[in-house]
Amino acid sequence: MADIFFNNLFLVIAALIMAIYLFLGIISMFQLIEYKRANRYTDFSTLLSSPLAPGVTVIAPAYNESKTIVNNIKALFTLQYNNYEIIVVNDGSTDDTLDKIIKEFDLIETEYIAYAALPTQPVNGIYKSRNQAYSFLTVVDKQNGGKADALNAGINVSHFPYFVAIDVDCIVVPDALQKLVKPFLSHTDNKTIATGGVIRIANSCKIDNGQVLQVNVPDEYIVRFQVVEYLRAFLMGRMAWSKLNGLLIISGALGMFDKDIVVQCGGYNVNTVGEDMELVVRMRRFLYDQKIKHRVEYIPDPLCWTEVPTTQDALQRQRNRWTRGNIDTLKIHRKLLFNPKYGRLGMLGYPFWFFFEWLAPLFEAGGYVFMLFLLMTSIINWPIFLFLLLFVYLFSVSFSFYAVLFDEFTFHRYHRFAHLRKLFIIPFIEPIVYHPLNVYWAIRGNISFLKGNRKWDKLERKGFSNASPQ
Amino acid sequence: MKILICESNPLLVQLMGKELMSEQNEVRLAWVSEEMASQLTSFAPDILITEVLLPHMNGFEFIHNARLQFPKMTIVVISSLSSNRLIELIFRLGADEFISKPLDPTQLNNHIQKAIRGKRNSFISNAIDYVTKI
Amino acid sequence: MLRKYKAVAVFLAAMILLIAFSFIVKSWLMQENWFLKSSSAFNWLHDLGRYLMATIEENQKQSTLLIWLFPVLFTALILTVVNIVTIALFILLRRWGSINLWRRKNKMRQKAQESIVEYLYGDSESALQQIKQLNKQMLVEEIISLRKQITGPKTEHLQLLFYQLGLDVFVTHKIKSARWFNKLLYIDAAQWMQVYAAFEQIQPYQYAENPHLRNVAQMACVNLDTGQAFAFLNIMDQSLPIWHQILLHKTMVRGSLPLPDFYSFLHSENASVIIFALNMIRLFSQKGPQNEIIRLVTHHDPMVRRNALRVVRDLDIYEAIPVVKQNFLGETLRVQVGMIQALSLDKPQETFEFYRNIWQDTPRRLQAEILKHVSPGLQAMLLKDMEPEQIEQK
Repeated sequence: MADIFFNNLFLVIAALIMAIYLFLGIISMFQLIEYKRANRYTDFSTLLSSPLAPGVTVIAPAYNESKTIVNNIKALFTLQYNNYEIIVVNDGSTDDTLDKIIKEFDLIETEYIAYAALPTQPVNGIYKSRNQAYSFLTVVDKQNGGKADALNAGINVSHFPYFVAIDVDCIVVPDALQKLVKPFLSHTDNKTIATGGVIRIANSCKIDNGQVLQVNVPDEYIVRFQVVEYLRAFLMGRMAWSKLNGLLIISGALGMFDKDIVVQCGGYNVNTVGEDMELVVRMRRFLYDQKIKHRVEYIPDPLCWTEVPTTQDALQRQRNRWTRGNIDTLKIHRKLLFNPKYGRLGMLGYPFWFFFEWLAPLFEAGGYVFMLFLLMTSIINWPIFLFLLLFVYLFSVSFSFYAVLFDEFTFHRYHRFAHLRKLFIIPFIEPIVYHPLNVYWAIRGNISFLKGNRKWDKLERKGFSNASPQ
Repeated sequence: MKILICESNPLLVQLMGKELMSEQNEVRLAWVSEEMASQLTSFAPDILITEVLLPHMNGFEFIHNARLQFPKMTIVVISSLSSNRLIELIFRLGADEFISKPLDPTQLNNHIQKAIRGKRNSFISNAIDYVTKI
Repeated sequence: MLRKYKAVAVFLAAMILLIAFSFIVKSWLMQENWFLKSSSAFNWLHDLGRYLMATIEENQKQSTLLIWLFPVLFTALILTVVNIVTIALFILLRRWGSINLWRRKNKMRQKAQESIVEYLYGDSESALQQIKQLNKQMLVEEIISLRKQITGPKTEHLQLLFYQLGLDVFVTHKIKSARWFNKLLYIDAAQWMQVYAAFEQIQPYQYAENPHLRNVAQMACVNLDTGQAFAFLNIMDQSLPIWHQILLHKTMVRGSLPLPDFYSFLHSENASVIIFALNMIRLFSQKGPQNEIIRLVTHHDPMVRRNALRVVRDLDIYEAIPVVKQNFLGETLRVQVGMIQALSLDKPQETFEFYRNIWQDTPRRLQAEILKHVSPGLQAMLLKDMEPEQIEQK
């Protein structure tokens, strides 16, 4: 009797999950079409010459990056925007990161008032360049406190109403600021509080001087899985949630925020590894409490290219951290679940995240165990079992194919036949190899969360890379 | 005189090409970013006319590299930029003349003559400086 | 209504289709022999379906759910496989085809570009004959993209070409019939090429539901309407976001258009229109009754107040300073920052006195903002005056 109940339960849930994914896919499609059409003749460079364009602060935290820091900062200089400042926050690096910046840009320590709106670890000094050419560069040297703390320190010294949080090792395309700031300027009745850009994978791409010159699909399977995964997450998942206004996360790799609201909410949370997600949820909760209409948007243009882990070990640590960050945020804001007071966030966004990002892997693992139990007690009906398995498998394959199709129609970044050949294999292998691994890592993440691990992993502290899809 | 014109709008490039075409000038055009870099090295022009807001390419880097590669070349930047900060940056990176878009193609020749004169003058004054130092 | 929920509509349609299909598939599976016996290609599928259905019915006597669901699942399975194959083929074909199509299009574009340059610099007559055979939308795109980049005598030449090709008539016609995203192009073209005949067509779009269309139409009307260019500001009840303001401002600057008296819009009901008027007054330094501006410093919308404060600062309206000081403490933070900037008009000593008096009542965050935005001299004075424990390290 019990097995029939479980059978039915699994069936219903599986069908529901597929229907929801299908629905999200359809919304994404319409959203992408709309975006392409509306911006076909838009001249974003108008922002470069207009006195009405708002100022933007770029905040880039750096920790032990002495090898690449100078080039990374120089790449930021070429962002095409008129009225912006760059704040590099040296988060207590133990190597010569700060010395290198000081030497290269001819910095001197300046007087400042330690009168900060957000509490942070103590600041050792604030540096500005003697060279007028670098007048828009500020370097903050502070004691180590993690990425969230570094960003808060950057917010404290910033001057402009909007800020962009970026990973200093990401490659940001030159017109990213123009594209990110536009949603803030396009709505008046519905205040935009944060925008994010799509993250693409830079492994194997030809990169020169901080610009992606040629896009390639990597050869390593582990990276290729992630390429398809990111396509799916950003072009299908995030786009739909942007349209539904139910977004809970802006990737830490690139996101623009309304500084006022961030400061009013108390800035980044230093006690979680998922600070990017936590901030967005807290901002939205704050605005819902005040009954202010607002939106969080995603720009489907590929604005940021990042290197992703190439070894299983590194990837596992990354996923482990994301899982912990997710649970942490969900736990902190558990009041939101199905709370009609929080509108779309409480009724759609949060529950989706709760069930699909946190519970789904656990549920899936439960399914595997149940399956194993059935196999052992040999009451399984093989033909039916195989049929259902095939069905689920093919559904996920087709979903990945749709993601590739969306990229093909919109931004067309993988434009060679060789790219296609490489990409087309992935959806077929992914559900068998990569997906179970992901489930396994998510469970490991849950376990380490229960064990009380709330910190960044020492080993991967270096990269900061936090471009989580979904 | 060898002139290279780089600009992402193919129609505008051709227009400027026609404008500058004459017996003593050899003009080449490039409107695809890969071509710009390769043309620059292979053609080694005396005058480079370029936009800095280029798709898939960093125009600031481009003029900077051009200046490093060819110290004597005259670099004229045409751009729809109007931010003083960025225009300053362009000059610091080695441009000799800045023309803001929209531009009058019939005036292009004058601008270039001015840039060349300016360049020569600064060259002469540098030489005088050098001599007086000795 | 339907447009807003089109995703839901498509989803529901897909579900209904799926269920309808599953009924067909079910009746197909129920049949022992397929009625189209001759084509045996799908016989294995038929047999498989029947076999599965039989096992399910046999095995799951207690539960009817799977029996009910099976036809749907089976249909979905078939559709998914078809889907994957079609998408793969479609991408490949499109890419293959698009290479050819792209080449052809590119060739046409090149031809158009060459002919246009030829027209401007060489034999106009023969070039004109060549251009006439080309696709008109592409020509409009090319001509407009060039027109946006140049000034001087060549623009008149280009405009002549536009009219000689009869593109003005084409554009006017297309504004009526094209889809909304193409309308953007044609309205823009009418604006750049001064097609006054299109004005009648464009005018209603100034109040369009679609913000992109509305914006383009407003810019066009500002350019084309010689009499009452900014009349739409009085009528419009939709909002005018900053992005649209930026574009309108650019249009005015570019065309050196005669400016209306922006003070007349300061009484508008629409807050975004007031903000626009304030911005334009500031950017063009338009002179007018100052008490109008001072009145807006206490407007009920914080955005309006902030923009009014900017005008106060940039146009040196000293008379507003008492009002600013009076309202300082009760304000929202963002407006207060604007107030701090506006107060820089005042004499440093008086500002200092003012800040010192309110210092105890100000929250920490506001104190930080004051220190960040005042002049260095005043900053030093304030810091010296502060009690030591209020300053953290350094």
